[in-house]
Amino acid sequence: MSAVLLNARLQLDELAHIPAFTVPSLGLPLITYLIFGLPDVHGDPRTAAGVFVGFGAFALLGIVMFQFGVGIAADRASAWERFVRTLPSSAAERFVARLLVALVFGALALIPVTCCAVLATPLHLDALTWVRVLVSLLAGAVPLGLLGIMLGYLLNERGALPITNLLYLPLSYLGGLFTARPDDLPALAQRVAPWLPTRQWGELLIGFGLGGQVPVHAVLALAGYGALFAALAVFGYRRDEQRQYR
Amino acid sequence: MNTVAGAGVPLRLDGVHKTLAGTPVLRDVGFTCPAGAITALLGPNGAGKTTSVAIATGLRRADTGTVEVFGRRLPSRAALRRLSLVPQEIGLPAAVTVWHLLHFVSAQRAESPFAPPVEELCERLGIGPLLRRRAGGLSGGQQRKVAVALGLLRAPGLLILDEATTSLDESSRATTWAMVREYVDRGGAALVTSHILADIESHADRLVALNAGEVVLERPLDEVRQRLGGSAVSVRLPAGHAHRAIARITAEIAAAVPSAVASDSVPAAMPDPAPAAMSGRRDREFVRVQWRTANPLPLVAAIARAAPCATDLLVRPIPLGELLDELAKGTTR
Repeated sequence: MSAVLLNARLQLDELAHIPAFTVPSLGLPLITYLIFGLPDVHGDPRTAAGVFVGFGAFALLGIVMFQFGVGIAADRASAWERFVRTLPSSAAERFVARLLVALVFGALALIPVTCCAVLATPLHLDALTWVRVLVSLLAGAVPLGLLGIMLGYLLNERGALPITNLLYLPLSYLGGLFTARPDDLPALAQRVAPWLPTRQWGELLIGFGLGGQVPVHAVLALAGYGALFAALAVFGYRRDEQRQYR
Repeated sequence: MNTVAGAGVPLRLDGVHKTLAGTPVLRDVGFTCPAGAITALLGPNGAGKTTSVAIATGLRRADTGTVEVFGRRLPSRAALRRLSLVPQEIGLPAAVTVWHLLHFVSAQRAESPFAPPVEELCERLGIGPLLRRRAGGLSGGQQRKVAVALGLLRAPGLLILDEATTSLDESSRATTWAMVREYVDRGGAALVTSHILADIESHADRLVALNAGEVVLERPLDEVRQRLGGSAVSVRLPAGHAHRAIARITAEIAAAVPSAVASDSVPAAMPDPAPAAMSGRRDREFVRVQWRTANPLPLVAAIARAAPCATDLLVRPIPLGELLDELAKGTTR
């Protein structure tokens, strides 16, 4: 078995047996969809699609922010991680393993929301639209995943969980992921929303995922956020290396 | 070239300097760990042992100097493939089974001619019944056994044990040391740190002593014992008669070994062979009096002749702890 798969399997086994991770990561998107998403659909297929992609993004956002943000911060402080660094697998292989695990949990978080949307709403998407939605979900998850990595390296273990929580729900709400009509958000939220990566992600999902038109400004904004978060993540990683391993 | 060992010295530090938080913690540190020997890294608190181990395992990088494992620079993957660590703290992932942890580590290492087979390892360390349990449910001692197993599992040519036997019971400690001995007898090299000096005295072949970030001694253990004066001989004397008994014993020693002088001086400051050194500790009714000597037999004979009231004769090698005390005081090099 390759080093990537070995590391991924260990991380999967570990996370799968931590209810504090699995229950909120897998259950929260479904619960919020049932409470806030479903009542918003009103039997309208377009609204059903908009609500579904928003809550799909919310599910993925939780995984990438907690798996990367809190996970990396915890690993940085862990004696086990120090031990693992003395094993032959490289830092890059361990990181790819973490990415794989995030994808697996992301898929697991999407499945219940998707099933619920398909079974309980008039959601009807053709195959191409499903592919575009999936691509948009993954593309938007990249800069938000980098945000998680950035938090993981900039925050310590104690600060990572509350701060990630503090960002996760506001980013979702203000970004319009909980509604098919972001323009109906309160005025203050609408003033803030355009500056948030989650709002750009939502526009990508609606524009390209459901509509087939690439919203260039959203793509550029997401790329910019990705570059910014990546730069800060690299800065945090180097600072951590300097402190811990130099 | 062997995939788990390879050409070159198992571990070589040369001219290593390290400064942490503005304080130099290692200064021109250099030592080697040869194959077929257990090398003990000793020193008082703050001497630089932990930093040396971190550098020797690639967890820290030297500011200057070279660190090589079988001729490969750390922290390259080629070097990491040739070393195995039992860390002081391991923090096993709580939700993962012991079996999975063993599999995770063994799958990353090649078969090793030095390490015992996994079944034997589990049986001797008594972790067979723990294999299906999750690490978080294990006691501290059980977790330590698993840590030892992870270090010894397919251990390549260099094994580093950092306070590995701490919190193990007597039996597991003995088993661990026995397996480390077998590992080096098969040609592996071991670097150990332990604050249980009795273990070091019993099992190490070579000592590397650090003090204030510098290597102050790198010698075989037997040579160090010789430098310390060989043995400590002590007896218990009734407090009321101790002064006269000591005077008689001293006179006997002077007659039997003319070069011997009873003194509190440390052995390193004495001519070789070291004459007897004397010190005493008083309790309520008795005084335990101790002499250091390179040759304990004439001393024992002198005590028998001069002080029939002496009881509890004890002859033992000079404790390593005394060497460390002297290192800390800067009196031995």
